[in-house]
Amino acid sequence: MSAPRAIPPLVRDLYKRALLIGRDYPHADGMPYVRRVWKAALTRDRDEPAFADAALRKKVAKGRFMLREMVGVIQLKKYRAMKRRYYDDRDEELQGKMRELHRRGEEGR
Amino acid sequence: MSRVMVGVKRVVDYAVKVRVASDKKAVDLANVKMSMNPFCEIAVEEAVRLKEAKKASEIIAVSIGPKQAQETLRTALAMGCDRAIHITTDLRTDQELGPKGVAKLLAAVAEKESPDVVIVGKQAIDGDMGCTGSMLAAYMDVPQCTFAAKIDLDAKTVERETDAGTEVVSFPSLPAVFTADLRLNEPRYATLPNIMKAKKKKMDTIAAADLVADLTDGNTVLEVFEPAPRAAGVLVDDVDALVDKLKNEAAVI
Repeated sequence: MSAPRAIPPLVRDLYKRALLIGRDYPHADGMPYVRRVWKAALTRDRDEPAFADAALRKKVAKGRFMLREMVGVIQLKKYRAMKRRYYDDRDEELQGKMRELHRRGEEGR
Repeated sequence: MSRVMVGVKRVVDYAVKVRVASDKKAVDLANVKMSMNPFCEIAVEEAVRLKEAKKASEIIAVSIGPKQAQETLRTALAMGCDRAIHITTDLRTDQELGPKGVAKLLAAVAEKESPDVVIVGKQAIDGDMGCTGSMLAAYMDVPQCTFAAKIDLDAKTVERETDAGTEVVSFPSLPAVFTADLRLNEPRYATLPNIMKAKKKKMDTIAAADLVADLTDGNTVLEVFEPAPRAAGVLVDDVDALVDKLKNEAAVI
């Protein structure tokens, strides 16, 4: 049996970034979920013969894209939570208009 | 070029469901995730954008609280602030230290640092007082623009959120205090390299007692309680049952 291959520095860096962002990821399982999914994704190609540099970079680029997606989810969740907590009562006017429209529709029937 | 001061507060994370402590005098803070107040993030982001637009020369982040407030300040530094001031106090920042005390402390810092622009969040998500910005402007004796949705320093106008929509107001001069509303901007997320750089930025520590002697605001918390739980809903079998219930039980149709 051969000794386990060293983790490429780019991949290690990617995992570090994922763990950092994962602290804020809105999921019921939180950090353990992020760790599980990222570990699975990063070790999927572990038994492949060593990637050529360009291929590895391409994979890492995809990983960095996924990190940006995670940040997007975090920001959106936070914005929506704030909006729901502090601003949703402002839709009353809209609701009033909708009620009015509905009433007119009923009359015209 | 103006100097910008930003107030940041360390609060219970927005995603945490808070519980009332057993003595019913406060929210339980043991083993609860804390992070920067979302509205303070927006304030920091606005300051950083001012700097990126070459309208600000230096951004100073200020936080009041226990030792852990330094982590929040580091986040602000990682987002792009230049240096930080940590005002230490053992008072609970969600209820013992009210907006009046905070405004006095920030005004004392502002006197030393003489910023041209002060940006704070419109409210914190723990105490939900929403007075700190206004009180700070009063103590500093400068104009205030609250609930800002858009700040234009050149035209000296601020678009602000109101109950019926937005309105544009003009302010006479800088220095002025702005409070950030939700739609002011979308705060950035601190990247790993910036977090590393933030560790080297300067952070001063001042004891609250050295700045302001009297931090009380005369309020006492009598009891903290959870909102009443909603009654469970009922599943109806078919439309007829629903109409029957709406007619006879709810009496709405």
